Amino acid sequence: MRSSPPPIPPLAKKIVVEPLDPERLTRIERTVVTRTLDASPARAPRSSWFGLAAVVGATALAAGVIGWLAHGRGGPVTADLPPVALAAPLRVHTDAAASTLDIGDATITSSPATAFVITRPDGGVLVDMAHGRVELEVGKRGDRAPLVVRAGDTDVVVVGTHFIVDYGDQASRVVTVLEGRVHVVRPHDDVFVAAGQTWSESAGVMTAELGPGAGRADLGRAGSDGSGAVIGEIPGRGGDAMRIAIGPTPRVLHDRVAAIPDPTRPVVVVHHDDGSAAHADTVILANGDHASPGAKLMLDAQKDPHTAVLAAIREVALRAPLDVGTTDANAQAVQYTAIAFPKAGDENAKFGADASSALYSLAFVQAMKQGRTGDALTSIDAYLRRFGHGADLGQVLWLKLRIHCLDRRWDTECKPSAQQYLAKAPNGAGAHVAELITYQE
Amino acid sequence: MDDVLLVDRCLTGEPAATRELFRRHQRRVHACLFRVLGSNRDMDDLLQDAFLQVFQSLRGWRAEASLATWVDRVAVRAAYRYLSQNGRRLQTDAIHDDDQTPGDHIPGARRQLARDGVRRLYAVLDDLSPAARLAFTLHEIDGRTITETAALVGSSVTATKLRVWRARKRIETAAASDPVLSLFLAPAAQILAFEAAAVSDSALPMLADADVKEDA
Repeated sequence: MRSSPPPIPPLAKKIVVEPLDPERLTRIERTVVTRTLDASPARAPRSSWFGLAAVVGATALAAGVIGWLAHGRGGPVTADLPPVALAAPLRVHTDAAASTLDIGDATITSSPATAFVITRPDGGVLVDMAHGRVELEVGKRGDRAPLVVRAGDTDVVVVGTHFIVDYGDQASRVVTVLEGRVHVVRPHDDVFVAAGQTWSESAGVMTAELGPGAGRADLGRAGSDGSGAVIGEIPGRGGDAMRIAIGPTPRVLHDRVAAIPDPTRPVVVVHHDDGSAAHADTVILANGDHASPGAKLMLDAQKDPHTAVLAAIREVALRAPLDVGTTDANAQAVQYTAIAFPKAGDENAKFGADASSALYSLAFVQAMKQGRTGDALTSIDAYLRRFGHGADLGQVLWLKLRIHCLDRRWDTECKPSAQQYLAKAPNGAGAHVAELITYQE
Repeated sequence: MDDVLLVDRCLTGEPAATRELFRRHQRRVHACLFRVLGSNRDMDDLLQDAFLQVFQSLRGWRAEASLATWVDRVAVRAAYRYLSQNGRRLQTDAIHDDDQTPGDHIPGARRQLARDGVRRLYAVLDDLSPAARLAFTLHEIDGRTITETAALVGSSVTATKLRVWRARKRIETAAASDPVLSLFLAPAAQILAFEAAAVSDSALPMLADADVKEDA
């Protein structure tokens, strides 16, 4: 008689997964990240999180503004304001002159006739502009969610910098970066804008024309004593909005570390007539209630252990790209691409050293002028595949190191790039810095 | 970083967050796809497609399920699409021994058995419907419970149980006529006996016994 087949024992341990090798994995990761960022139509966090966070964040902001309104030095300060339980985000409208709003981890200076709404989604900040022009200084945010300035369908994602967003009458948008770097994200494209650059819808990224008065001075001051220029509006219970007058411009935030507003201990900053800022010990509301000033802003910059290395990386000069008769980044990129990737049958096609140099130049322009570091890394990968021993290898590897290290991907990308540079260009101009990077903890 | 915060950062288009999410889940997703599809030359594309789907659909994650479960569900859908396309047969390549650790000396016969056994197992799986294959591999090879498997493939628990049972029967039947597959599926003790027999050059009679048993 034919016996029935024996039952199958568990197979879970019989099939052992073959791990992907790191190179393949890195390629997949890069493709996924690049395509995701290129294709993502919506860049803002989900509204549900915004809504929840807005309630919490607005409470902290409300108390901040209350304190902000309270002028005086030392002792209790009185604000002639009713207690307000916020169920909606803080709204700020500017009036005839410029104003500055300090929200703890950023200052927002706005020009006349600017309107925007601020919410705090999950520790981030969303400045949603209706129109006008704002200048922001944002403290280092560390691992916290970024600050996002939204102008229509354009998001400017910030992790710590000083920049201006101009949302014009014709719905045109211009972003000018004074310090650091921002990520401008639109439904179908995104670009990094670095210090000294300006981005506009029509022209893309260009070198900014910044005069000596650029930045905050551009927006003007509220008045001789800096007060009374702004009308803020905090919606209260039963539709009673609270009108507020904004104090003088506070000190700038160059190295201010982000303070995390605690909803139970809101940030309260009092601005004095001489322009200095201080924390109120106590704020007494009109009805006699006391509001705790709460979390202190950390005005001392947190020491960054990598600062020296980053400075050293920036000091190593990269060779200038090929001269193709133009300084326009887009035109340069087109010409470099044509040289590096000639079409079949092109009689003027250049190969060898010319193509190598063009491909390096393409990566250089993408990274240094256009702020497209993802594309630059793709060009660098293409270079390494085609010209493993090319004349520009040292420059290409240094550019790769620079991109990864300035992006602070220390262990995953920066150190391996430094090791690769040392292996391939041990006598290169950046060898001593690369060696330093490999020692970094 | 909390999953909710990470997802929100991904949705703001933050490259670092996108990378972080990929790195957190790639190993598990790859393992799941590997167990469902076997060693496969399209694995890189599949893993890439699965994560592109994850990021495209990220706005739909409501934190009702854990992010890992949600990512797995998207990956399983990607595997289902792959299996459904043209009834393709998969390329099962060499496989490692199950309990191999660095420094172990793996007997050649046992390694060969593992390779051949896996190849034959996935050859049988190739003949199953995509739904049955997913149900069987997720439950029996990936080690998920029937309830988890049902949730991942979007079927009822009863339907999933039935698919797993049918797949097991199909494999048991195939193993009954295939001594190599039968030995591969056998408990570890039986494999050790085979290994001992191989050392003493008596492996062939053992396989012959299996054939005789089948004929009887």
